[in-house]
Amino acid sequence: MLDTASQFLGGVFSVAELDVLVLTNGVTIKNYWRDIWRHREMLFFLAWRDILVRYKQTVVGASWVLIRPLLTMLVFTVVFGRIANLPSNNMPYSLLVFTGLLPWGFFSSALSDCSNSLVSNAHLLSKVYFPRLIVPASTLLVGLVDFAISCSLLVVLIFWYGYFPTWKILLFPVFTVLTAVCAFGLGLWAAALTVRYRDFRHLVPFFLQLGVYASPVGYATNLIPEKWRVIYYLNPMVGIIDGFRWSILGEENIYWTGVLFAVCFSALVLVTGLRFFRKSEATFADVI
Amino acid sequence: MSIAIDVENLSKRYVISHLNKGARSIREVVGGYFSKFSGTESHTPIDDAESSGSSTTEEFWALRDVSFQVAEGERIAVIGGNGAGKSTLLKILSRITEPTAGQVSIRGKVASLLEVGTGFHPELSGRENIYLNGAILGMPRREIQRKFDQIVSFSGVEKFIDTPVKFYSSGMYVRLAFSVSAWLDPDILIVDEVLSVGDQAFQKKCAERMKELTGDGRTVIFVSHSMAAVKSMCERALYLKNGRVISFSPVEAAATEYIRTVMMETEQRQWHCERFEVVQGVSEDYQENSEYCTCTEGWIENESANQTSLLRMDQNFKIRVSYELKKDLDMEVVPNFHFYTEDGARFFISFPEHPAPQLKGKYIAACEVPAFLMNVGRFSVMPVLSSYKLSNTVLFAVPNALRFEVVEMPNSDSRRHGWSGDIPGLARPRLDWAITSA
Repeated sequence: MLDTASQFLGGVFSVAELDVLVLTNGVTIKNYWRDIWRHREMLFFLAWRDILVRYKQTVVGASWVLIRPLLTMLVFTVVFGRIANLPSNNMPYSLLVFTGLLPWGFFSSALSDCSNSLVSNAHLLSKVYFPRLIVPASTLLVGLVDFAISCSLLVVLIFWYGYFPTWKILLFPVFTVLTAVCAFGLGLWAAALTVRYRDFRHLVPFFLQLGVYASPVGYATNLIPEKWRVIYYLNPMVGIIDGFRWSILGEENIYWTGVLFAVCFSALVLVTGLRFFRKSEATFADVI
Repeated sequence: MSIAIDVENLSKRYVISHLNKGARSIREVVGGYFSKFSGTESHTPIDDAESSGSSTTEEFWALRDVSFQVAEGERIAVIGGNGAGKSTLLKILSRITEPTAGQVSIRGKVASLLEVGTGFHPELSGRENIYLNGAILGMPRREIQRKFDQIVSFSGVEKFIDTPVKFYSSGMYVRLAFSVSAWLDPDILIVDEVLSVGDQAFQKKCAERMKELTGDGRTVIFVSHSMAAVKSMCERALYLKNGRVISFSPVEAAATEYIRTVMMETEQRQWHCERFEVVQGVSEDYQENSEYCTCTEGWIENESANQTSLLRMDQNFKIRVSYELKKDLDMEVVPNFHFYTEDGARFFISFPEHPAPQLKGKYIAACEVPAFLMNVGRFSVMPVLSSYKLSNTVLFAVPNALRFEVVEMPNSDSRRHGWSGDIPGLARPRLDWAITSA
């Protein structure tokens, strides 16, 4: 009687101040989001652990967060700006590179950490219960922290070159969220698939490696001939990086269709990614 | 009393892939489809494995139709050998994995300790790990803060609390790890053999803390191979074997049953042996004074004169041993049967009223064991023929020759008076009683 009632209500309900939890096959718990909310502290602790652990036993410590994008910026500036002599749209080439590197770095580290997160926390998945979404979400949080630190570098650069932002900078957070959504959506797919097919451990880094060149990180978008534009913008990061440059550097020309596509694409991957993740999360502990 | 955990027809199936344990790669999956659709067989080891068996996967039921109920505040043990399904059951109860069929209803907040120190990171300090581990086990941060000092002092690693745990000795590490778990405060606690950590003193501390934790009305599910721990902590035991419930009974009975089964499985020869034959030079441990006599065979016979090793407590049974005297003897010979308990302690020795015949010939010594002498349990018999005139009194002895089990049929003991539990002890004699008004 008790069980049929609880099944009817589909999960958790309250009898005499205690929750009754019904576990059966294929019944996803209705209060999934409440469950995640209850585990929010774990989310922060996992992120905190990853941040704390990453630069232990290194000499320069957390400075790596700054050193890495700076060095990449230098290399890209030299290779694309000096050697290849690509056009910079009348702005310092290093600034052009950095405004591309900033979202790209966030995207690529969030995506690759996200996709590896479940496998590298396998011992947790097989020993404790918690909403599995916590694990990839915590890596996104780590990515955001790195992103924030890199942003401080951006501020320094902007003032160094005397580029004072316009009102367009107000849309900066919007593009940040867009990047996060895109990375997280793809990351959820990759994470859930990696549990079953370890091939994604190789596939994701490979695509990210190609992605640096397929996205306008080291060059400006207007380098791409008009006839290739539609295909080029199928890469959502093109629209996103465009958006960042537009908002930070106040560029005049922006291909809004590309940005819109990036928005739709990101929303789609997030929704489908969440669905796929939730569908497969019940079996993670069995196959990991 | 209300039910804390209600498990109904719970089953869990695992699909074992024979190609590659656990992780799969796309090549296998795609390749598998490809060869199915194209119908061509390539000659990779994968396909060979596929063609030799009809399928590449095998089903394995880790749990099958398991049903039981745990009342609120009850402490139960889950026992069984390796692969019995204990861990799978715990994993389902603690929501790590989903059941394949059936359902579980759990009332109250669950904490499960399937391992101590889950999520401990070697690079982090003891302090940091306490917070991390606590969060993973579902302790709110404020609660950890409140219990922090207790946790640290319990673990006894105060001095090193800010040292990365990778520099800890394994003992310190485990002590700290257990300490965090020891301060959880759930309604239902699921514990998987985490007690056996640390040195003796710490183990004692753990056991005490566990007792404390498991007291005050908490529902506990405890998995262990240690029957002593199980008996001291739990009231009832769920005995699993090959994913099925063998019994769910008071812990004493279940533990005995488990030990018995384990002994049966580990011992090469089975316990039950209703008949023996002496084969010269082959029968181990057999002793005889072959100048005078030899033992040939022996058996156990129930009331209906059937040879059996499964005997009813409420019926008489006979032990019969046949032997041969090789010549006329000028001394008294006395057959005597030694009865042993299951663990090898001598229960009693029985002698006949009169000595046996002394003339050359074949004899059968029979001894009738009355009903209600032996309690439920397992016993063995060593038939002996002795002569107390010789310096070596043993004419023959067949150690561990017959092994039998006494069972109690339902309602066969009129003196139970409604008690349905265990009646421990080796014997259950029906003694004369008189209760008179004083």
